[in-house]
Amino acid sequence: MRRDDSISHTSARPLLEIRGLGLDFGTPRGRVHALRNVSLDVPAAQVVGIVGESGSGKSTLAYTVMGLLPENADVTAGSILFEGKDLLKMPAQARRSLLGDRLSMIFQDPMTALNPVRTIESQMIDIQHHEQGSRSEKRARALEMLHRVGIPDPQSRIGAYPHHFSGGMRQRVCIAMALLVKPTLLVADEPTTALDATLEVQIIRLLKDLQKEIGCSILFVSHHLGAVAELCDRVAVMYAGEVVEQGAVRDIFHNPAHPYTRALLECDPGRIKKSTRTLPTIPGEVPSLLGSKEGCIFRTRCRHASNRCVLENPVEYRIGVDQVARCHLLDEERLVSA
Amino acid sequence: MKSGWFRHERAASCSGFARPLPHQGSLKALATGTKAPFIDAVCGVSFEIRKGETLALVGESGSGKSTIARTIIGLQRAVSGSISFDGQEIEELSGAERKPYLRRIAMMFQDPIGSLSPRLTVRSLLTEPFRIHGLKDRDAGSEAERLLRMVGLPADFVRRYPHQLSGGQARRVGIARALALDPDLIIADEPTAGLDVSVQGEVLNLLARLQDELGMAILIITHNLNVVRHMTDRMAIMYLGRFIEVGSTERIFEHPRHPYTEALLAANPEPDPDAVLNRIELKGEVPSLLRRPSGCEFHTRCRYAQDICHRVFPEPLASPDDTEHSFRCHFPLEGEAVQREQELLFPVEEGI
Repeated sequence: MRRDDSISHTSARPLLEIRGLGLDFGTPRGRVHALRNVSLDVPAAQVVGIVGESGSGKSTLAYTVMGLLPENADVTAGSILFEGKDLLKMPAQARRSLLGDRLSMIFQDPMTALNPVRTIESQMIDIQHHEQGSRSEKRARALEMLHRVGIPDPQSRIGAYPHHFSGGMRQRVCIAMALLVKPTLLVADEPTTALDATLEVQIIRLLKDLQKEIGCSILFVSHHLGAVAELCDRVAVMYAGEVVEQGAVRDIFHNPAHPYTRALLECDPGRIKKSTRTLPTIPGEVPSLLGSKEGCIFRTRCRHASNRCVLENPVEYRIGVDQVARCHLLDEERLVSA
Repeated sequence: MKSGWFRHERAASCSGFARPLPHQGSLKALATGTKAPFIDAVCGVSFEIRKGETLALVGESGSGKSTIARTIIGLQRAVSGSISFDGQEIEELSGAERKPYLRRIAMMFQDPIGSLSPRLTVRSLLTEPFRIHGLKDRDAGSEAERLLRMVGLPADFVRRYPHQLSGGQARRVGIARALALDPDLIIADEPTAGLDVSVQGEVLNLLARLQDELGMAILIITHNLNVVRHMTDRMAIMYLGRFIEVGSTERIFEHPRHPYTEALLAANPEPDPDAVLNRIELKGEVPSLLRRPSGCEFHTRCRYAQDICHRVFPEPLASPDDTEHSFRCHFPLEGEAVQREQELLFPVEEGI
C-alpha cells in the first residue's frame, strides 16, 4: 500500500495540517533546502514530538509554523492549515494576531526569552493584550498561572525581574506566559535543553499535567528521545530536512521501520544495558543541503543502501495502522511477503 | 573541614599505583577573582587519579566540577588544600616552575568551537603547544598531520579554520590539540556537550581508543551519567561543591547509595513509552552557594529527609563490602528496599 500524503488517522480534522512543505534559505553559497516535502498532522489535544539531530530542520519547522523566520527564508511549496485556514496564504496582520492568542511558543533558552528590563508582572499582563478585562483581572490571572506552574509565593515574586529567577524558574515563567493566553496549539522548541537533568524531569511533568488540564495541542521539538517517549502521543523523526518516519509513539519506539530511526535509538546511551567500551554510532555526516537532492537522503550513512536509493526518492510506506516511513526497504519487504 | 589530596601518580617504577595519602588540608577553590565575599564553589574535595585510569566528575550546573578542572591546570588558585601531580605539589608552584607539569596535563574545554581561536588554522592550533613549550625541533607540518591522523581526520584539514568544522570535527581537533604534548592526564570538560547522540558515541569511542593506545589518565567532567557509564572506571558525584558519593562506576550504577545519585540515574532513563516511569522528581532547585542549607545540604530536595538531616552534616560512610565506595548520607539507600540500619555501615577515616 503506497501513499503520498500524510496520514489522517482521526475522523475529525487535525488542528494543524502541514502538507508538502518546502523551505529554502538563501545563502551566498546558494540555496539551502532546509525543509523538503514535509507533511505532518497535529491532532487536537495531542502532543506531537519532532525528533532529530542538529541541522535536521526541526526548529525551522517550528519557526515556520509560528511565522518567525529570518528574511532569507523562502517557503517554496506546501501549505500549513491551522484550524482549516492556510497560514501561508493569510495576510500578515491576520497571521500575527494569531500569535499569543491561538498559537503560542516556548523557546529553548529561558535566559534570553524574557525581557530583562521589565518585571515578570508587566510581561505577563502585556501578553494578555488579546483578552478583555482590566489590569487587575489580568494580574490575578497571571498570579493564578504562576501558582499552577509551581512558582512558590507568586504574590511576592510577580514583581521580580527575570534575573531574580533561576533557569528552571524562568522556564516555568515562560510556560506560564505561553499558557496564559489559552492557546489551542503550543509550540515548544527544546524547552528542556538548557536545563539540568533533574529540572528537566520537573518541566516535562509540568507540561504533561497542564496539557491535560488545558486540553491544548503541543508541538514538542526535542533531540532528547527520553523526553519525547515520556511526553508525546505521536512522533515525527526528521533527518536533513525531511520527515523520514512518523507514527504513534509506541510504534516508533518499539518497532522503528526506518534505518535512521533504528540507528538513532541504538545510539542513545540510556538504552545500552550491557557495559561496553565501544558505543554505537552512525558513521558519516549529515549531507550538505545545498543543491538539488535526488534519491534517499539517508543513503550515504545507511548500511542497507542499494542502487535504487541513489536513483529514486522513497515515498511514504504505511506500516501497521498508524505509522509511515520513507524507505525503499519497506517496499521490497512487502514484495517478498506478498 | 575535611582535608584532602589530589594526586596523579605516574612513576614508572611505581607501576602506576597510587596510595591514599595523609590529609594535607582542604582544597577550596574560588568562584571569582574578587575579594570577599567568597563563594565556596568547591570545598573539602579529595580524590586521586591513578595512571591510565578514567575518573568522572558528575554533577549539575554550579556543582563545582569545572572549577576543579580549572584549579588543577592553574587557571584558578585554590584557597587551601593541595594538588600534587606525580609526587610534586603543584598548587604552590608559580608560573615558570609550573610549566613542566602543565605540559603533562592537557585540557579539553567545554565549547568545542569556542575553545579554538577563530583566526588560526587547524595547523597553527595543533602546533601552538609546541611553540608555547619551546619545542622547536619538531616539524610543525608533519606533527599536525600526525595528530589529525590519530583522531581520524584527513590531513588536508590543516588548512581549515574553526568555522569550517562541524561540532564533532571541532571536538576531534580539540582532542588532537590535547594530545600534542603526549600528556599523562587529559581533563575533558563536557566532551560531548552540544553534540548529537550519533556523534557523541564517536567522540567517546575515540577517547577510549586513544587511552588504550597511549595509556594516559582521563578526568571526564559531565552532567550526563549515561556518557560516563561505558567510559570510566570510577566516578564522583558532586552537589554544591562537595563529593556526595564516590566509587567504582559499575557499582554506583548498580547500587547507588545517595538519594541524589538515585535521582540523577533516574533522570535519564531508557527511552521507552511503556517503561514504568520511575523518574524521580526532586523537589525545588539547587540551593544558592551563598546560602548553603544546614545539616545535609541535600535535605531541601531529598524525599527521604528526616529531622537529623536538617541538623547534622553527614560524615562520609563506606560500604561494608567495598571501602572504595563512600557516600555522605544519614540514610543511604539499601538495594531495592530502603533500610535505615546504621549498624550496616561504619565511618571511614579518609574524606571523600
